[in-house]
Amino acid sequence: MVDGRLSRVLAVTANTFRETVRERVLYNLVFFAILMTLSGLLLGQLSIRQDEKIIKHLGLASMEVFGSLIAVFIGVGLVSKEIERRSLYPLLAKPLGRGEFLVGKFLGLGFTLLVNVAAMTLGLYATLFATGRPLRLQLLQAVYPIFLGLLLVVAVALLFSTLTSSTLAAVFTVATVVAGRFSDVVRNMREVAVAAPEWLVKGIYYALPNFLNFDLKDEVVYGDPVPARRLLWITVYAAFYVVVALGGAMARLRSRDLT
Amino acid sequence: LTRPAHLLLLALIPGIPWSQVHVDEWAARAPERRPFLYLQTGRQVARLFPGFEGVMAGIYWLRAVQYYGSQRAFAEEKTYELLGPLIEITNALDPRMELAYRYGAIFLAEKWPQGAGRPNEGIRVLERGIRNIPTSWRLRWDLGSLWFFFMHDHKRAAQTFLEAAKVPGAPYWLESLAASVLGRGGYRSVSREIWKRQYENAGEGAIKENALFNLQLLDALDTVDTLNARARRYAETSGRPPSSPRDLVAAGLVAGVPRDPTGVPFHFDPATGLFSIARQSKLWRSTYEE
Repeated sequence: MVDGRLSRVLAVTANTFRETVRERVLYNLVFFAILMTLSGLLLGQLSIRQDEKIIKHLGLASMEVFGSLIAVFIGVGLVSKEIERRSLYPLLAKPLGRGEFLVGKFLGLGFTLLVNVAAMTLGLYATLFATGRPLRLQLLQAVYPIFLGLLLVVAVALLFSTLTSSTLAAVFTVATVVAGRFSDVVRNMREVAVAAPEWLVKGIYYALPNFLNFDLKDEVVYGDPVPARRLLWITVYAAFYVVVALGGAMARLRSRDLT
Repeated sequence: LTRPAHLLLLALIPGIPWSQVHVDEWAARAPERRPFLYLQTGRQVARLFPGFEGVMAGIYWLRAVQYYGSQRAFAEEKTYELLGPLIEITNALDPRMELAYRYGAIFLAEKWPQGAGRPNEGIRVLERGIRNIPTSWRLRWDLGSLWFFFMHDHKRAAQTFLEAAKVPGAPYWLESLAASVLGRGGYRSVSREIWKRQYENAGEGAIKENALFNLQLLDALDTVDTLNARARRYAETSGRPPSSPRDLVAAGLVAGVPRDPTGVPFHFDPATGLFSIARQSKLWRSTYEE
């Protein structure tokens, strides 16, 4: 039974990956390649002995931005478009559970993002190599949390897409991602708005997905050590949030009348 | 979902804040983030964004204000190292943005840790502003204030106030202010005059608030002097310094527990029997310029 369930999930995963590739999502890699080539060629002359740092920053930031755009705009369509186009109905008539469908979609887009991030990482290393900069594995300590953050964006997008239309889901997901990047502002809110109750500030801080957790770009670019336990806790946090968000999405999808 | 699955899902929710607390703990051990400027001069920014210099000036100004605020409020090592370049870029992109010169100079000149503690840089910003906006008497007035408060060069302060007075549209009182700086009154009374004018002439915002702060600080310092004079008188008449402010109240020298203009009671040191501004007051500073 587990084998059957796993193979159904993997079938949806593979199909979602194929679908995203067909939608030319990976074309963003071309932009990335152009950006990296230009930065490699120009930054050495424009910046004063800062080109390595800027190339790394640009590469890592591009991974995050392109990945987030894919995660939001493809993520919100994964379920809601299937419902709006009514293509979900024949699928559910087959022996495929709604939960399996949702997990398969999540893993499919997750795999697309993994391919995307991996290709960009190779591109970044290639640029550093081409400009005669040292290649350090430490860069992966920033790439890994970026990927975790992207998975969380997909989970949030899926949750919203089961609650509302794809357009509104995109708006809510973008708003959540942006708000989550300001979590430090939320945490320090009482420094400015003294009257804000502490329970409210803490509540918002812990409820919002904290996307700053996944931002280790500065530390890695400056060569600061990132302890393995910190990465572990970031992984634990991402796992909890992803499971809760996907669980919520699953509960909502199962309760929907799709007959 | 089945009922146990719902319960499992609910049980997982506390895991989010629990893991966040651990992530925060590890993040707090990491070295402080060092802000970094990709483009170091206004010329570089203008080259990259032709036709959008005004918008970029606004963006850089916002960044300068945010940077100043974050250094002042949150940074462990308050270096303010990017403040100068951020202000220079803003000025270069929009040379007529008067506010950027005025606030920028204050941010730079204000004593560390409230500001960068680099009055020379603040003066350079205002001199640049005067070159770019020669019709602004306010920039000259600010420059004079910087010479007075931060460089303690009363002669140059007065000279700058007089130059400001010659600009068409300048208020009448600049000349008398120059006279006060050169001779009449002590440091505190001249300071009060400058801040009073600043308060009256500033629109709502940080400049007005800063002027109000300084007026309140001067009031508090005056009150401390009065209270300490009465405490000394008490010591002379009773043969011992007061052990608490209540002694002064009982002797009829003070009406009640003395508070500063922000409402915080003054600190009383039982060892010396003297008053000072309490540490918890927002008026408290490690040193006061006199």
